[in-house]
Amino acid sequence: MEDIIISKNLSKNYNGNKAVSNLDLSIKKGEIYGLLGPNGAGKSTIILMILGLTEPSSGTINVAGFNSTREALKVKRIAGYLPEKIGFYEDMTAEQNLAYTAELNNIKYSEIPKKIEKALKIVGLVENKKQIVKQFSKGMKQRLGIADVLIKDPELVIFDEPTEGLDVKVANSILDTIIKLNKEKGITFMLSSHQLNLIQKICHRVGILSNGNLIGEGKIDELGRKLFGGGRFIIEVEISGDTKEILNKFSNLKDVIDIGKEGNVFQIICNKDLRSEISKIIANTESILTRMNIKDYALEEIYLKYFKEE
Amino acid sequence: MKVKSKRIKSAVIAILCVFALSIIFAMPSAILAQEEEAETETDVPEEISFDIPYPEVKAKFGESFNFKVDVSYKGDEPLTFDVNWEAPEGWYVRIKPSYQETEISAVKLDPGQEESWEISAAPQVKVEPGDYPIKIIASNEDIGLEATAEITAVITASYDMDLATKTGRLNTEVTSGKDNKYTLVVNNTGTDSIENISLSTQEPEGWLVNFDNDDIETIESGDKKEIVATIKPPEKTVAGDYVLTLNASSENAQDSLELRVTVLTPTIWGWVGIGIIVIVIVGVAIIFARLGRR
Amino acid sequence: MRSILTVYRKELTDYFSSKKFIILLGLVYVAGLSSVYVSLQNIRDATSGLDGFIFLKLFTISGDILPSFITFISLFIPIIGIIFGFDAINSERRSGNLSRVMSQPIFRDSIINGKFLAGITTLSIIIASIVFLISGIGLRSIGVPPSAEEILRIFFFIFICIFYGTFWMSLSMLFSIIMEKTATSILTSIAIWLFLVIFLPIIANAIANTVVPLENASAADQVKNYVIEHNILRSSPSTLFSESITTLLVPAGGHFLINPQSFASADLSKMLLSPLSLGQSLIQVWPQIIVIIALAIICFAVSYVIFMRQEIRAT
Ligand SMILES: Nc1ncnc2c1ncn2[C@@H]1O[C@H](COP(=O)(O)OP(=O)(O)O)[C@@H](O)[C@H]1O
Ligand SMILES: [Mg+2]
Repeated sequence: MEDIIISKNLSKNYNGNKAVSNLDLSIKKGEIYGLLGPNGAGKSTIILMILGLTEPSSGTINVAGFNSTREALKVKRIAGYLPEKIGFYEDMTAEQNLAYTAELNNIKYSEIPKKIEKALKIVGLVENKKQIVKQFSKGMKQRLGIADVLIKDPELVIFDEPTEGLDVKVANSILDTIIKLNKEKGITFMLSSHQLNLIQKICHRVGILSNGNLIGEGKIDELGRKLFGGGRFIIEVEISGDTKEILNKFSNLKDVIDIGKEGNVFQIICNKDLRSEISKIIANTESILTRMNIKDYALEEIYLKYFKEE
Repeated sequence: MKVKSKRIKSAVIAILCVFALSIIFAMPSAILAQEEEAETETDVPEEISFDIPYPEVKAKFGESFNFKVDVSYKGDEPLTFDVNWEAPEGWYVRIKPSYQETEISAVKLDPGQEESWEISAAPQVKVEPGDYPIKIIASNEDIGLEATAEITAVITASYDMDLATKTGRLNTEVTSGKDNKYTLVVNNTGTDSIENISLSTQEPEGWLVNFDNDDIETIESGDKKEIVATIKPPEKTVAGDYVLTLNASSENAQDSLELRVTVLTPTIWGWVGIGIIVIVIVGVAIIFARLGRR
Repeated sequence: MRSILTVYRKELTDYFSSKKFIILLGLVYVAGLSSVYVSLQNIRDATSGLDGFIFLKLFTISGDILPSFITFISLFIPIIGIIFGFDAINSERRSGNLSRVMSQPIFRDSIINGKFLAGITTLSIIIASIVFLISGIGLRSIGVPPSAEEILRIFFFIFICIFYGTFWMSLSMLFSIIMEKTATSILTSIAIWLFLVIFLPIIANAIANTVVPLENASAADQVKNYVIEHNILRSSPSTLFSESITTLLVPAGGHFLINPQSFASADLSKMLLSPLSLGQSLIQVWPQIIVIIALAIICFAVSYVIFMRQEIRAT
């Protein structure tokens, strides 16, 4: 599939501090891409550079073939953006806010009411059309934000922190809308979030960002391997008896990546669920299996490693 | 009921008592007075005389003529005199003791008493210039004593003129930059003709005031002349009220008149002004309607 | 171009829907109408029927209690300008609208240009409407139409007022760009205004009195003192403004205000207070007008450059 966002060697310095360093990013048309990382990782900075709202210190970025720095207007014509702290003109109604966006997008006056109606229908705010935004809840504003980007019929929507500050139910309804839009309209989404557990389930692909560096990228279930040198499972085995012989036999197993040993507890990192093989090996020896458990660790570990520190 | 009738009864008795008492006390004094009058009798020669330092006084018509008269009485008993005056038709004479305000018609004089009177005479109707003799008479009919003083009021010719407007109103409206005609009336209210009356004005700066006839040769007594004044405020006069003073003067008489002149806004500019106000208000209202958000 | 117009129209709509604007407009109207009422009371005393500039006196005559229209307007214009500009950018940024609007396919300067133009338009509407309203009332009441020259002078007056207001608006807009909080930007603008209007005269007076003490001063020294004070005051746009409008609206003698030396050195007995022609009046205050316009342009240009280079994300 064709790439819609391609960044090469993209860097951004703020007063000598690297907010983003040497980023190579490519996002495919039609996918939902999650840019994940803790606060301050550089997610918003990347998004601003994609939209041409901030100039990169070095490197290039292209959106649908347009250079974000030099052809920002063309990029902004096809890319919708929902900023981190989205705001509307509070004294204007939902409709008036969207009409303003429509006019800024150079949409014909005669088509504006139709577009507004359609966008509001998608996010379920048709009844609130004539209501001033001041009276909107946070979730309603977020949904209005989606309607706002839909006005321009975007190919790509970049959504900075879509679930920030929302309770789980509201957040899920936002995410559902994203999936729906992706499926029905084929809109490419790029979501940024520090709430890995909320976002990951709807992303086709994620990139993990830490301190401006993309430390891992790919499908969620592949990520662990990349980040921790392979292995998706950790099997902990505790035995009583001779351990040396067993260790040898374990090492000979296929699919085992690494084995650690502490006293008579083994930690086996592997790509497959090897529990039946392991119990067979132990049964063939004098030793007795006292405890065995397994965990599918990748996301958990990523979360602990990169997101938990805050 | 009983109490009330008792009260009325006692009140009636009290009133009757007072009445009776007063009759008893009044009787003797009335009798006494009658006796006294009967006793009065005289045989000493009495004399009353007037002394008038200035028996002839000249004044214009409309003013009053004031004389001073000294009265002296000789005799040995105080005597009361009636004081009367005789004057030509239309005159009224007031006789007062000097420095007093009371007009007298009788005087009681002690023997040897001297008094001075002030006499003022004035015609109550219009009279021609000339001599008007007036007699002052003090008399006691009981003893047939009488004194007469002759004084003469000489009315000289009077010069008086009145400048007025024909309508009687002291205000008028004018338009700036235009000749505004206004009719004035000069009245000779004096008794003689007035000659060579000239008219002048004190006008606000820049104003032009002309008269069709600014030098009147003569107006007979009681006559009047109309004069048309042309008032022309300068082209750019701020609308509002102005004071225009008009003077008529001759050798003998003069009068002036303050005319309140209202300069009107020329209608066209009034309408243009209103037009501008309306346009501004409507314009701002339209802007609000078009641009404001409801 | 359409995006500037869109921003412009929205901003105009905001002005004409906002309470602060309606209050300001009401204040200006009340002040203007009360001053014309006062000047109508006094205009005849001040008019010798032959002086050519009766109409202009509507704007310049003061009463015993109330000041003249030009005094009012000199006070109000900076306030209007400051109120129009102080939250132009930072409130948009804080509310999260700036990032959203900037992600639309428009050039960044559309925002600031549109806001600036809308501010100038609104300012012009306020000033022109009150001046025309006063003219209409005056024409109705005094019945003396303005001469062509008077009309021209009034238009120049309106233009200068607009430029002066634009200066204050761009200044406070500049603060709205460099300062994050609207409270800070309005306080800074008002502080500058108060300094120029209240403290600078005190300082100028103090300096002049220190350099040339006024006690037992000769006439020449008094003039020197005044000239020093005046030159210090000239550093304030409000002085330049009052000099230019006075010279324009008081053709006879208004310019003495700006030339104290000539006023003092001239033999007054031989000098006629004859009015200057419009051209002469303009030449007298041309530098003042140019400086006011230049200050407005400089403030706007600085705002523009800073805004174009600024991070747009909400802080
Ligand atoms: N305008 C700025 N000036 C200086 N440093 C900035 C600026 N904006 C962001 N940064 C820094 O850049 C880094 C990345 O910030 P950001 O992209 O907002 O992170 P995220 O969106 O992932 O939370 C942070 O360390 C932040 O302090
Ligand atoms: Mg962020």
